[in-house]
Amino acid sequence: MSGELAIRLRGVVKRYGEITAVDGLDLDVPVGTCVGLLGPNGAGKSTTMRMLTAQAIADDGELEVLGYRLPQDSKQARAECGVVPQLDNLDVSLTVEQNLLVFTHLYRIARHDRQAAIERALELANLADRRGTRVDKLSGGMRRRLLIARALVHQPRLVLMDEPTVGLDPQVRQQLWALIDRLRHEGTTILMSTHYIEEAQRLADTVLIMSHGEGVAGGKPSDLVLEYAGREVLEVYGPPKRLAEVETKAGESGLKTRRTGTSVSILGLDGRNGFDFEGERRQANLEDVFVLLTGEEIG
Amino acid sequence: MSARAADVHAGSVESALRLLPVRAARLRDGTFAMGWAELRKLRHDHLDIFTRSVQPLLWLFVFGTALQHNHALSGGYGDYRAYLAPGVMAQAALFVAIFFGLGVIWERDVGQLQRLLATPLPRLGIVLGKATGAAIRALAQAVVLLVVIAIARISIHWSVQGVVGAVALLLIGTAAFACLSMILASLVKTRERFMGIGQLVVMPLFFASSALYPLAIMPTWLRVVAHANPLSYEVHGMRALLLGLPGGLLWLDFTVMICFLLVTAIVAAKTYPRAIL
Repeated sequence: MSGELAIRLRGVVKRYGEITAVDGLDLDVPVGTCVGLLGPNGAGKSTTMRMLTAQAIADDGELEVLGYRLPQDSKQARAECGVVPQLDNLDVSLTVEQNLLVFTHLYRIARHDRQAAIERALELANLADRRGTRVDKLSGGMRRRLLIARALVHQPRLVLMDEPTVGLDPQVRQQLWALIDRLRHEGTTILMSTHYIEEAQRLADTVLIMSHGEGVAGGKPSDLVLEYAGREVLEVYGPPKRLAEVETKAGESGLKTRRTGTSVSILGLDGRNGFDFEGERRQANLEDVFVLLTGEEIG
Repeated sequence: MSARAADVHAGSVESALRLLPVRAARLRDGTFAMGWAELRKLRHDHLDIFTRSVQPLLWLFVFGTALQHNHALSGGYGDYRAYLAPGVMAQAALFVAIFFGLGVIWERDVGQLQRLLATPLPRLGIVLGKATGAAIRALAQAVVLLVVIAIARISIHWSVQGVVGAVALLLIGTAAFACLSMILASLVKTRERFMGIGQLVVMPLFFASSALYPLAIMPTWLRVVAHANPLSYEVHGMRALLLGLPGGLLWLDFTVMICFLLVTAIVAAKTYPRAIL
Protein backbone atom coordinates (compact mmCIF):
# COMPACT_ATOMS: atom_id res chain seq x y z
CA MET A 1 0.00 0.00 0.00
CA SER A 2 1.49 3.27 -1.08
CA GLY A 3 -0.80 5.30 1.14
CA GLU A 4 1.70 7.94 2.04
CA LEU A 5 3.32 8.25 -1.34
CA ALA A 6 2.25 10.75 -3.96
CA ILE A 7 4.71 9.30 -6.45
CA ARG A 8 6.18 5.84 -6.46
CA LEU A 9 8.56 4.69 -9.20
CA ARG A 10 10.16 1.26 -9.27
CA GLY A 11 12.73 0.13 -11.79
CA VAL A 12 11.60 2.62 -14.42
CA VAL A 13 13.39 2.40 -17.75
CA LYS A 14 13.05 4.66 -20.76
CA ARG A 15 15.04 4.17 -23.93
CA TYR A 16 15.26 6.39 -26.97
CA GLY A 17 16.73 4.14 -29.62
CA GLU A 18 20.24 3.30 -28.52
CA ILE A 19 20.20 5.73 -25.62
CA THR A 20 18.86 4.69 -22.24
CA ALA A 21 17.70 7.97 -20.76
CA VAL A 22 16.34 6.51 -17.53
CA ASP A 23 17.80 3.25 -16.33
CA GLY A 24 16.03 1.49 -13.48
CA LEU A 25 14.98 4.51 -11.47
CA ASP A 26 13.33 4.19 -8.05
CA LEU A 27 11.74 7.31 -6.61
CA ASP A 28 9.43 7.98 -3.67
CA VAL A 29 7.69 11.27 -3.09
CA PRO A 30 5.82 11.20 0.23
CA VAL A 31 2.63 13.23 0.48
CA GLY A 32 3.18 16.74 1.77
CA THR A 33 6.87 16.94 1.01
CA CYS A 34 8.96 18.69 -1.58
CA VAL A 35 11.37 16.39 -3.36
CA GLY A 36 14.14 17.69 -5.57
CA LEU A 37 15.38 15.69 -8.51
CA LEU A 38 18.95 16.84 -8.88
CA GLY A 39 21.35 15.99 -11.64
CA PRO A 40 23.48 17.39 -14.41
CA ASN A 41 22.09 17.92 -17.89
CA GLY A 42 21.34 14.62 -19.52
CA ALA A 43 20.96 12.72 -16.24
CA GLY A 44 17.38 11.78 -17.08
CA LYS A 45 15.48 14.35 -15.00
CA SER A 46 13.42 15.72 -17.84
CA THR A 47 12.66 12.27 -19.19
CA THR A 48 11.44 11.29 -15.73
CA MET A 49 9.23 14.37 -15.66
CA ARG A 50 7.92 13.56 -19.12
CA MET A 51 6.96 10.06 -18.05
CA LEU A 52 5.13 11.44 -15.03
CA THR A 53 3.14 13.81 -17.23
CA ALA A 54 2.35 11.18 -19.86
CA GLN A 55 4.45 12.78 -22.56
CA ALA A 56 6.55 9.65 -22.67
CA ILE A 57 5.71 6.06 -21.84
CA ALA A 58 8.17 4.01 -19.81
CA ASP A 59 9.61 0.91 -21.47
CA ASP A 60 9.76 -0.93 -18.18
CA GLY A 61 9.03 -0.57 -14.47
CA GLU A 62 6.14 0.61 -12.32
CA LEU A 63 4.91 4.17 -12.09
CA GLU A 64 2.28 5.28 -9.65
CA VAL A 65 1.07 8.86 -9.28
CA LEU A 66 -1.44 9.71 -6.55
CA GLY A 67 -2.35 6.03 -6.45
CA TYR A 68 -3.03 5.83 -10.18
CA ARG A 69 -0.96 3.55 -12.33
CA LEU A 70 0.68 5.02 -15.38
CA PRO A 71 0.16 4.93 -18.25
CA GLN A 72 -3.22 3.15 -17.86
CA ASP A 73 -4.83 5.72 -15.58
CA SER A 74 -2.71 8.66 -16.54
CA LYS A 75 -5.71 10.82 -17.35
CA GLN A 76 -7.02 10.57 -13.77
CA ALA A 77 -3.55 11.28 -12.48
CA ARG A 78 -3.15 14.27 -14.74
CA ALA A 79 -6.47 15.67 -13.59
CA GLU A 80 -5.14 15.88 -10.04
CA CYS A 81 -1.62 17.07 -10.90
CA GLY A 82 -0.34 20.50 -11.78
CA VAL A 83 2.52 20.73 -14.21
CA VAL A 84 4.99 23.59 -14.51
CA PRO A 85 6.88 22.94 -17.73
CA GLN A 86 10.46 23.83 -18.40
CA LEU A 87 9.50 25.73 -21.52
CA ASP A 88 7.27 28.74 -21.24
CA ASN A 89 4.22 27.65 -23.21
CA LEU A 90 1.69 30.28 -22.23
CA ASP A 91 -0.75 31.45 -24.83
CA VAL A 92 0.91 34.77 -25.65
CA SER A 93 -2.03 36.30 -27.47
CA LEU A 94 -4.36 35.83 -24.50
CA THR A 95 -4.38 37.86 -21.31
CA VAL A 96 -3.20 36.60 -17.94
CA GLU A 97 -6.75 35.95 -16.83
CA GLN A 98 -7.75 34.28 -20.10
CA ASN A 99 -4.81 31.88 -19.85
CA LEU A 100 -6.05 30.84 -16.44
CA LEU A 101 -9.64 30.64 -17.63
CA VAL A 102 -8.73 28.17 -20.40
CA PHE A 103 -7.12 25.97 -17.80
CA THR A 104 -10.13 26.09 -15.49
CA HIS A 105 -12.02 24.56 -18.41
CA LEU A 106 -9.37 22.01 -19.26
CA TYR A 107 -9.34 20.89 -15.62
CA ARG A 108 -13.13 21.03 -15.45
CA ILE A 109 -13.55 23.37 -12.52
CA ALA A 110 -17.27 23.85 -11.92
CA ARG A 111 -18.64 27.06 -13.37
CA HIS A 112 -19.43 28.73 -10.04
CA ASP A 113 -15.92 27.97 -8.71
CA ARG A 114 -14.02 29.20 -11.74
CA GLN A 115 -13.72 32.85 -10.83
CA ALA A 116 -12.63 32.05 -7.27
CA ALA A 117 -10.02 29.64 -8.60
CA ILE A 118 -8.67 32.29 -10.94
CA GLU A 119 -8.57 34.90 -8.17
CA ARG A 120 -6.71 32.53 -5.87
CA ALA A 121 -4.13 31.74 -8.54
CA LEU A 122 -3.70 35.42 -9.40
CA GLU A 123 -3.21 36.31 -5.77
CA LEU A 124 -0.73 33.50 -5.22
CA ALA A 125 1.38 34.57 -8.18
CA ASN A 126 0.94 38.24 -7.26
CA LEU A 127 -0.51 39.02 -10.67
CA ALA A 128 -3.92 40.35 -9.69
CA ASP A 129 -3.16 43.82 -11.06
CA ARG A 130 -1.98 42.30 -14.35
CA ARG A 131 -5.03 40.22 -15.05
CA GLY A 132 -5.95 42.09 -18.21
CA THR A 133 -2.44 42.24 -19.65
CA ARG A 134 -1.63 40.16 -22.67
CA VAL A 135 1.07 37.62 -21.93
CA ASP A 136 3.46 38.95 -24.57
CA LYS A 137 3.51 42.24 -22.65
CA LEU A 138 4.64 40.61 -19.39
CA SER A 139 8.20 40.48 -18.08
CA GLY A 140 10.03 37.17 -17.93
CA GLY A 141 9.50 36.86 -14.18
CA MET A 142 5.78 37.52 -14.43
CA ARG A 143 5.44 34.93 -17.15
CA ARG A 144 7.16 32.36 -14.96
CA ARG A 145 4.86 33.20 -12.06
CA LEU A 146 1.87 32.88 -14.34
CA LEU A 147 3.14 29.52 -15.51
CA ILE A 148 3.14 28.37 -11.90
CA ALA A 149 -0.24 29.97 -11.20
CA ARG A 150 -1.68 28.17 -14.20
CA ALA A 151 -0.48 24.83 -12.84
CA LEU A 152 -2.18 25.60 -9.51
CA VAL A 153 -5.52 26.86 -10.73
CA HIS A 154 -7.29 23.56 -10.00
CA GLN A 155 -5.63 23.15 -6.58
CA PRO A 156 -3.72 20.02 -7.49
CA ARG A 157 -2.61 17.58 -4.80
CA LEU A 158 0.73 17.21 -6.54
CA VAL A 159 2.75 19.75 -8.48
CA LEU A 160 5.44 18.70 -10.92
CA MET A 161 7.99 21.39 -11.72
CA ASP A 162 10.55 20.82 -14.43
CA GLU A 163 13.47 23.20 -13.88
CA PRO A 164 11.19 25.98 -12.65
CA THR A 165 13.85 28.68 -12.52
CA VAL A 166 16.14 27.75 -15.37
CA GLY A 167 17.57 30.75 -17.20
CA LEU A 168 16.20 33.40 -14.84
CA ASP A 169 18.05 36.19 -13.13
CA PRO A 170 18.66 35.93 -9.36
CA GLN A 171 15.88 38.33 -8.35
CA VAL A 172 13.25 36.44 -10.30
CA ARG A 173 14.59 33.16 -9.04
CA GLN A 174 14.21 34.36 -5.47
CA GLN A 175 10.62 35.45 -6.12
CA LEU A 176 9.86 31.98 -7.40
CA TRP A 177 11.56 30.33 -4.47
CA ALA A 178 9.35 32.32 -2.13
CA LEU A 179 6.32 31.20 -4.10
CA ILE A 180 7.35 27.54 -4.08
CA ASP A 181 8.21 27.74 -0.39
CA ARG A 182 4.73 29.08 0.31
CA LEU A 183 3.16 26.15 -1.51
CA ARG A 184 5.31 23.78 0.48
CA HIS A 185 4.15 25.30 3.73
CA GLU A 186 0.55 25.02 2.60
CA GLY A 187 1.10 21.28 2.31
CA THR A 188 1.22 20.82 -1.45
CA THR A 189 3.32 17.88 -2.54
CA ILE A 190 5.99 18.99 -4.97
CA LEU A 191 8.41 17.16 -7.22
CA MET A 192 10.90 19.54 -8.70
CA SER A 193 13.71 18.79 -11.09
CA THR A 194 16.62 21.17 -11.07
CA HIS A 195 20.29 21.40 -11.69
CA TYR A 196 20.68 24.35 -9.36
CA ILE A 197 22.05 22.93 -6.17
CA GLU A 198 21.13 25.93 -4.09
CA GLU A 199 17.54 25.59 -5.23
CA ALA A 200 17.35 21.98 -4.11
CA GLN A 201 19.08 22.76 -0.83
CA ARG A 202 16.70 25.60 0.00
CA LEU A 203 13.43 24.11 -1.12
CA ALA A 204 13.58 20.34 -1.01
CA ASP A 205 12.89 18.21 2.05
CA THR A 206 14.65 15.36 0.34
CA VAL A 207 16.63 15.16 -2.87
CA LEU A 208 17.42 12.36 -5.25
CA ILE A 209 20.67 12.83 -7.13
CA MET A 210 20.52 11.36 -10.63
CA SER A 211 23.34 10.43 -12.90
CA HIS A 212 23.16 8.58 -16.21
CA GLY A 213 19.51 7.74 -15.74
CA GLU A 214 19.87 6.28 -12.27
CA GLY A 215 19.34 7.56 -8.78
CA VAL A 216 22.77 7.54 -7.16
CA ALA A 217 21.88 8.92 -3.73
CA GLY A 218 18.77 10.13 -1.97
CA GLY A 219 17.80 11.65 1.34
CA LYS A 220 17.77 14.91 3.27
CA PRO A 221 20.29 17.38 1.87
CA SER A 222 22.03 17.68 5.27
CA ASP A 223 22.25 13.90 5.68
CA LEU A 224 23.67 13.50 2.20
CA VAL A 225 26.30 16.12 2.87
CA LEU A 226 27.29 14.43 6.10
CA GLU A 227 27.39 11.01 4.52
CA TYR A 228 29.36 11.83 1.40
CA ALA A 229 31.32 14.98 2.15
CA GLY A 230 31.54 15.04 5.92
CA ARG A 231 31.44 18.26 7.89
CA GLU A 232 34.50 20.03 6.73
CA VAL A 233 36.22 20.46 3.44
CA LEU A 234 39.66 21.78 2.68
CA GLU A 235 39.84 23.73 -0.50
CA VAL A 236 43.33 23.95 -1.99
CA TYR A 237 44.20 26.42 -4.71
CA GLY A 238 47.17 26.20 -7.01
CA PRO A 239 48.43 25.55 -10.50
CA PRO A 240 47.10 22.40 -12.23
CA LYS A 241 50.23 20.40 -11.43
CA ARG A 242 49.95 21.18 -7.74
CA LEU A 243 46.28 20.24 -7.76
CA ALA A 244 47.06 16.85 -9.27
CA GLU A 245 49.61 16.28 -6.50
CA VAL A 246 47.07 17.17 -3.85
CA GLU A 247 44.58 14.74 -5.35
CA THR A 248 47.08 11.90 -5.32
CA LYS A 249 48.13 12.55 -1.73
CA ALA A 250 44.60 12.83 -0.48
CA GLY A 251 43.73 9.65 -2.32
CA GLU A 252 46.59 7.85 -0.59
CA SER A 253 45.21 8.92 2.79
CA GLY A 254 41.82 7.52 1.82
CA LEU A 255 40.14 10.88 1.39
CA LYS A 256 37.79 11.80 -1.40
CA THR A 257 38.46 14.87 -3.52
CA ARG A 258 36.62 16.82 -6.11
CA ARG A 259 37.64 19.54 -8.50
CA THR A 260 36.10 22.93 -8.01
CA GLY A 261 37.24 24.52 -11.23
CA THR A 262 40.30 26.38 -10.00
CA SER A 263 40.84 24.34 -6.85
CA VAL A 264 40.65 20.87 -5.37
CA SER A 265 38.36 20.20 -2.44
CA ILE A 266 39.35 17.48 -0.01
CA LEU A 267 36.17 16.11 1.45
CA GLY A 268 35.37 14.66 4.85
CA LEU A 269 38.21 16.32 6.69
CA ASP A 270 36.23 16.70 9.88
CA GLY A 271 38.90 18.09 12.15
CA ARG A 272 41.63 15.79 10.94
CA ASN A 273 44.99 17.41 10.64
CA GLY A 274 48.36 16.35 9.43
CA PHE A 275 48.19 17.68 5.93
CA ASP A 276 50.80 20.04 4.70
CA PHE A 277 48.38 21.62 2.26
CA GLU A 278 47.65 25.26 2.50
CA GLY A 279 44.01 25.86 1.90
CA GLU A 280 40.72 27.20 3.09
CA ARG A 281 38.64 25.17 5.44
CA ARG A 282 34.96 25.47 4.80
CA GLN A 283 31.72 23.66 5.53
CA ALA A 284 30.83 20.79 3.26
CA ASN A 285 27.83 21.43 1.06
CA LEU A 286 25.48 19.70 -1.32
CA GLU A 287 27.51 20.79 -4.30
CA ASP A 288 30.40 18.68 -3.02
CA VAL A 289 28.10 15.67 -2.94
CA PHE A 290 26.65 16.48 -6.32
CA VAL A 291 29.99 16.74 -8.10
CA LEU A 292 31.41 13.75 -6.26
CA LEU A 293 28.51 11.54 -7.29
CA THR A 294 27.71 12.77 -10.76
CA GLY A 295 31.28 13.21 -11.94
CA GLU A 296 33.18 16.27 -12.91
CA GLU A 297 32.84 15.94 -16.61
CA ILE A 298 29.41 16.28 -18.02
CA GLY A 299 28.80 14.00 -20.92
CA MET B 1 -4.25 5.45 -2.27
CA SER B 2 -7.41 7.46 -2.63
CA ALA B 3 -10.77 5.77 -2.89
CA ARG B 4 -11.21 7.02 -6.40
CA ALA B 5 -7.89 5.64 -7.48
CA ALA B 6 -8.76 2.28 -6.01
CA ASP B 7 -11.98 2.25 -7.97
CA VAL B 8 -10.14 2.79 -11.18
CA HIS B 9 -8.11 -0.31 -10.50
CA ALA B 10 -11.13 -2.38 -9.56
CA GLY B 11 -12.80 -3.30 -12.83
CA SER B 12 -11.51 -2.62 -16.27
CA VAL B 13 -14.60 -2.69 -18.45
CA GLU B 14 -16.93 -1.59 -15.69
CA SER B 15 -14.79 1.35 -14.70
CA ALA B 16 -14.19 2.25 -18.33
CA LEU B 17 -17.94 2.45 -18.80
CA ARG B 18 -18.43 4.42 -15.63
CA LEU B 19 -15.74 6.86 -16.67
CA LEU B 20 -17.31 7.34 -20.06
CA PRO B 21 -19.49 10.31 -19.03
CA VAL B 22 -16.47 11.93 -17.37
CA ARG B 23 -14.45 11.42 -20.51
CA ALA B 24 -17.22 12.77 -22.69
CA ALA B 25 -17.50 15.82 -20.43
CA ARG B 26 -13.73 16.34 -20.53
CA LEU B 27 -13.83 16.09 -24.30
CA ARG B 28 -16.65 18.61 -24.51
CA ASP B 29 -15.15 21.10 -22.04
CA GLY B 30 -11.68 20.82 -23.49
CA THR B 31 -12.82 21.26 -27.06
CA PHE B 32 -14.92 24.21 -25.98
CA ALA B 33 -12.06 25.85 -24.09
CA MET B 34 -9.68 25.49 -27.01
CA GLY B 35 -12.26 26.79 -29.43
CA TRP B 36 -12.87 29.74 -27.13
CA ALA B 37 -9.17 30.53 -26.95
CA GLU B 38 -8.95 30.41 -30.75
CA LEU B 39 -11.88 32.77 -31.02
CA ARG B 40 -10.15 35.18 -28.64
CA LYS B 41 -7.00 35.05 -30.69
CA LEU B 42 -8.93 35.75 -33.84
CA ARG B 43 -9.92 39.10 -32.38
CA HIS B 44 -6.31 40.20 -32.64
CA ASP B 45 -6.05 38.87 -36.14
CA HIS B 46 -8.27 41.05 -38.30
CA LEU B 47 -5.50 41.48 -40.82
CA ASP B 48 -5.14 37.74 -41.16
CA ILE B 49 -8.78 37.31 -42.06
CA PHE B 50 -8.54 40.15 -44.53
CA THR B 51 -5.42 38.88 -46.28
CA ARG B 52 -6.80 35.37 -46.44
CA SER B 53 -9.95 36.69 -48.08
CA VAL B 54 -8.07 38.28 -50.95
CA GLN B 55 -7.33 35.09 -52.80
CA PRO B 56 -10.91 33.74 -52.88
CA LEU B 57 -12.12 37.16 -53.95
CA LEU B 58 -9.66 37.13 -56.85
CA TRP B 59 -10.99 33.75 -57.92
CA LEU B 60 -14.52 35.00 -57.64
CA PHE B 61 -14.14 38.37 -59.31
CA VAL B 62 -11.30 37.82 -61.80
CA PHE B 63 -11.63 34.18 -62.75
CA GLY B 64 -15.38 34.16 -62.19
CA THR B 65 -16.05 37.37 -64.09
CA ALA B 66 -13.87 36.31 -67.03
CA LEU B 67 -15.89 33.15 -67.43
CA GLN B 68 -19.16 34.66 -66.26
CA HIS B 69 -21.15 33.69 -69.33
CA ASN B 70 -19.71 30.25 -69.86
CA HIS B 71 -22.69 28.00 -69.40
CA ALA B 72 -20.76 24.74 -69.66
CA LEU B 73 -18.67 25.73 -66.64
CA SER B 74 -21.62 26.85 -64.59
CA GLY B 75 -23.41 23.58 -65.13
CA GLY B 76 -26.42 25.34 -66.57
CA TYR B 77 -26.71 27.87 -63.77
CA GLY B 78 -27.10 31.38 -65.12
CA ASP B 79 -24.21 33.18 -63.48
CA TYR B 80 -20.85 31.42 -63.25
CA ARG B 81 -19.83 33.68 -60.38
CA ALA B 82 -22.76 32.42 -58.33
CA TYR B 83 -21.89 28.85 -59.31
CA LEU B 84 -18.28 29.48 -58.34
CA ALA B 85 -19.03 31.19 -55.01
CA PRO B 86 -19.60 28.05 -52.88
CA GLY B 87 -16.58 26.41 -54.50
CA VAL B 88 -14.39 29.39 -53.67
CA MET B 89 -15.67 29.50 -50.09
CA ALA B 90 -14.85 25.82 -49.70
CA GLN B 91 -11.46 26.30 -51.32
CA ALA B 92 -10.54 29.20 -49.05
CA ALA B 93 -11.50 27.14 -46.02
CA LEU B 94 -9.53 24.18 -47.39
CA PHE B 95 -6.39 26.35 -47.53
CA VAL B 96 -6.93 27.48 -43.95
CA ALA B 97 -7.41 23.89 -42.85
CA ILE B 98 -4.55 22.24 -44.70
CA PHE B 99 -1.99 24.85 -43.68
CA PHE B 100 -3.19 24.59 -40.12
CA GLY B 101 -0.65 21.79 -39.75
CA LEU B 102 2.12 24.38 -40.06
CA GLY B 103 0.93 26.17 -36.96
CA VAL B 104 0.59 22.85 -35.22
CA ILE B 105 4.22 21.97 -35.93
CA TRP B 106 5.26 25.40 -34.71
CA GLU B 107 3.31 24.84 -31.51
CA ARG B 108 5.11 21.56 -31.01
CA ASP B 109 8.45 23.32 -31.51
CA VAL B 110 7.72 25.94 -28.84
CA GLY B 111 6.23 23.46 -26.39
CA GLN B 112 2.57 24.45 -26.73
CA LEU B 113 1.48 20.90 -27.40
CA GLN B 114 3.22 19.64 -24.28
CA ARG B 115 1.12 22.06 -22.26
CA LEU B 116 -2.02 20.36 -23.48
CA LEU B 117 -0.67 16.85 -23.14
CA ALA B 118 -0.02 17.43 -19.46
CA THR B 119 -3.68 18.26 -18.85
CA PRO B 120 -6.38 15.61 -18.50
CA LEU B 121 -7.84 16.66 -21.84
CA PRO B 122 -8.28 13.50 -23.98
CA ARG B 123 -6.13 13.27 -27.13
CA LEU B 124 -9.26 13.42 -29.23
CA GLY B 125 -10.13 16.66 -27.42
CA ILE B 126 -6.81 18.21 -28.40
CA VAL B 127 -7.41 17.28 -32.02
CA LEU B 128 -11.03 18.44 -32.04
CA GLY B 129 -10.10 21.63 -30.22
CA LYS B 130 -7.50 22.41 -32.87
CA ALA B 131 -9.97 21.52 -35.61
CA THR B 132 -12.51 23.84 -34.00
CA GLY B 133 -9.90 26.58 -34.19
CA ALA B 134 -9.55 26.01 -37.93
CA ALA B 135 -13.33 25.94 -38.33
CA ILE B 136 -13.68 29.24 -36.48
CA ARG B 137 -11.19 30.84 -38.85
CA ALA B 138 -13.09 29.41 -41.79
CA LEU B 139 -16.33 30.77 -40.32
CA ALA B 140 -14.93 34.29 -40.08
CA GLN B 141 -13.74 34.03 -43.65
CA ALA B 142 -17.05 32.64 -44.88
CA VAL B 143 -18.89 35.57 -43.29
CA VAL B 144 -16.60 38.03 -45.08
CA LEU B 145 -17.12 36.26 -48.40
CA LEU B 146 -20.90 36.06 -47.97
CA VAL B 147 -21.04 39.76 -47.21
CA VAL B 148 -19.01 40.58 -50.32
CA ILE B 149 -21.20 38.26 -52.41
CA ALA B 150 -24.29 40.03 -51.10
CA ILE B 151 -22.84 43.49 -51.78
CA ALA B 152 -21.77 42.49 -55.30
CA ARG B 153 -25.29 41.24 -55.90
CA ILE B 154 -24.15 37.87 -57.10
CA SER B 155 -27.36 35.98 -57.63
CA ILE B 156 -27.37 33.51 -54.78
CA HIS B 157 -30.59 31.98 -53.58
CA TRP B 158 -30.63 33.55 -50.10
CA SER B 159 -32.45 31.71 -47.36
CA VAL B 160 -31.72 31.33 -43.67
CA GLN B 161 -31.67 27.53 -43.73
CA GLY B 162 -29.63 27.56 -46.92
CA VAL B 163 -26.90 29.80 -45.48
CA VAL B 164 -26.88 28.06 -42.10
CA GLY B 165 -26.76 24.63 -43.72
CA ALA B 166 -24.01 25.62 -46.16
CA VAL B 167 -21.91 27.18 -43.42
CA ALA B 168 -22.42 24.10 -41.21
CA LEU B 169 -21.21 21.86 -44.03
CA LEU B 170 -18.26 24.17 -44.58
CA LEU B 171 -17.32 23.99 -40.89
CA ILE B 172 -17.53 20.20 -40.81
CA GLY B 173 -15.37 20.05 -43.92
CA THR B 174 -12.82 22.51 -42.54
CA ALA B 175 -12.54 20.62 -39.27
CA ALA B 176 -12.03 17.37 -41.19
CA PHE B 177 -9.36 18.82 -43.46
CA ALA B 178 -7.66 20.34 -40.41
CA CYS B 179 -7.52 16.85 -38.88
CA LEU B 180 -6.06 15.58 -42.16
CA SER B 181 -3.49 18.34 -41.89
CA MET B 182 -2.59 17.23 -38.36
CA ILE B 183 -2.09 13.69 -39.64
CA LEU B 184 0.25 15.06 -42.32
CA ALA B 185 2.03 17.18 -39.71
CA SER B 186 2.64 14.11 -37.59
CA LEU B 187 4.16 12.38 -40.62
CA VAL B 188 6.53 15.10 -41.81
CA LYS B 189 7.35 16.80 -38.48
CA THR B 190 9.27 19.80 -39.89
CA ARG B 191 7.77 23.02 -41.18
CA GLU B 192 9.88 23.11 -44.34
CA ARG B 193 8.74 19.68 -45.46
CA PHE B 194 5.19 20.43 -44.50
CA MET B 195 5.09 23.38 -46.91
CA GLY B 196 5.85 21.02 -49.77
CA ILE B 197 3.42 18.35 -48.67
CA GLY B 198 0.70 20.93 -48.06
CA GLN B 199 1.01 22.21 -51.62
CA LEU B 200 1.09 18.65 -52.88
CA VAL B 201 -2.19 17.88 -51.15
CA VAL B 202 -4.12 21.08 -51.48
CA MET B 203 -3.94 21.68 -55.23
CA PRO B 204 -5.04 18.20 -56.36
CA LEU B 205 -7.85 18.29 -53.79
CA PHE B 206 -8.96 21.60 -55.23
CA PHE B 207 -8.70 20.78 -58.93
CA ALA B 208 -10.02 17.24 -58.66
CA SER B 209 -13.26 18.45 -57.14
CA SER B 210 -16.34 20.24 -58.34
CA ALA B 211 -15.12 23.54 -56.81
CA LEU B 212 -14.39 25.22 -60.17
CA TYR B 213 -16.41 23.21 -62.67
CA PRO B 214 -19.18 20.62 -62.63
CA LEU B 215 -18.35 16.94 -62.52
CA ALA B 216 -20.30 16.50 -65.77
CA ILE B 217 -17.67 18.20 -67.92
CA MET B 218 -14.75 16.25 -66.46
CA PRO B 219 -13.07 13.36 -68.28
CA THR B 220 -14.03 10.04 -66.78
CA TRP B 221 -10.82 9.43 -64.83
CA LEU B 222 -11.01 12.85 -63.20
CA ARG B 223 -14.68 12.34 -62.41
CA VAL B 224 -13.79 9.10 -60.62
CA VAL B 225 -11.15 10.91 -58.59
CA ALA B 226 -13.52 13.77 -57.85
CA HIS B 227 -16.10 11.31 -56.57
CA ALA B 228 -13.59 10.04 -54.06
CA ASN B 229 -12.70 13.58 -53.01
CA PRO B 230 -14.57 14.79 -49.93
CA LEU B 231 -14.26 18.37 -51.13
CA SER B 232 -16.65 17.53 -54.00
CA TYR B 233 -19.34 16.56 -51.50
CA GLU B 234 -18.73 19.66 -49.43
CA VAL B 235 -19.03 21.90 -52.50
CA HIS B 236 -21.99 20.00 -53.87
CA GLY B 237 -23.89 20.34 -50.63
CA MET B 238 -23.09 24.02 -50.31
CA ARG B 239 -24.17 24.64 -53.87
CA ALA B 240 -27.43 22.81 -53.33
CA LEU B 241 -28.09 24.92 -50.25
CA LEU B 242 -26.94 28.30 -51.55
CA LEU B 243 -28.10 28.09 -55.15
CA GLY B 244 -31.07 25.78 -54.78
CA LEU B 245 -29.57 23.57 -57.48
CA PRO B 246 -31.44 20.33 -57.97
CA GLY B 247 -29.76 16.96 -58.37
CA GLY B 248 -27.62 14.92 -56.01
CA LEU B 249 -28.37 13.98 -52.48
CA LEU B 250 -27.90 16.55 -49.73
CA TRP B 251 -28.02 13.94 -46.97
CA LEU B 252 -25.24 12.06 -48.74
CA ASP B 253 -23.07 15.19 -48.73
CA PHE B 254 -23.54 15.62 -44.99
CA THR B 255 -23.02 11.93 -44.30
CA VAL B 256 -19.81 11.80 -46.30
CA MET B 257 -18.42 14.91 -44.59
CA ILE B 258 -19.35 13.78 -41.08
CA CYS B 259 -17.81 10.35 -41.68
CA PHE B 260 -14.72 12.00 -43.14
CA LEU B 261 -14.44 14.15 -40.01
CA LEU B 262 -14.85 11.17 -37.68
CA VAL B 263 -12.22 9.13 -39.47
CA THR B 264 -9.65 11.91 -39.75
CA ALA B 265 -10.24 13.00 -36.13
CA ILE B 266 -9.78 9.49 -34.77
CA VAL B 267 -6.68 8.85 -36.88
CA ALA B 268 -5.26 12.25 -35.94
CA ALA B 269 -5.92 11.58 -32.24
CA LYS B 270 -3.88 8.38 -32.59
CA THR B 271 -1.01 9.71 -34.67
CA TYR B 272 -0.65 13.37 -33.92
CA PRO B 273 0.09 13.78 -30.20
CA ARG B 274 2.49 10.83 -30.09
CA ALA B 275 4.18 11.32 -33.40
CA ILE B 276 4.82 14.97 -32.90
CA LEU B 277 6.52 14.82 -29.52
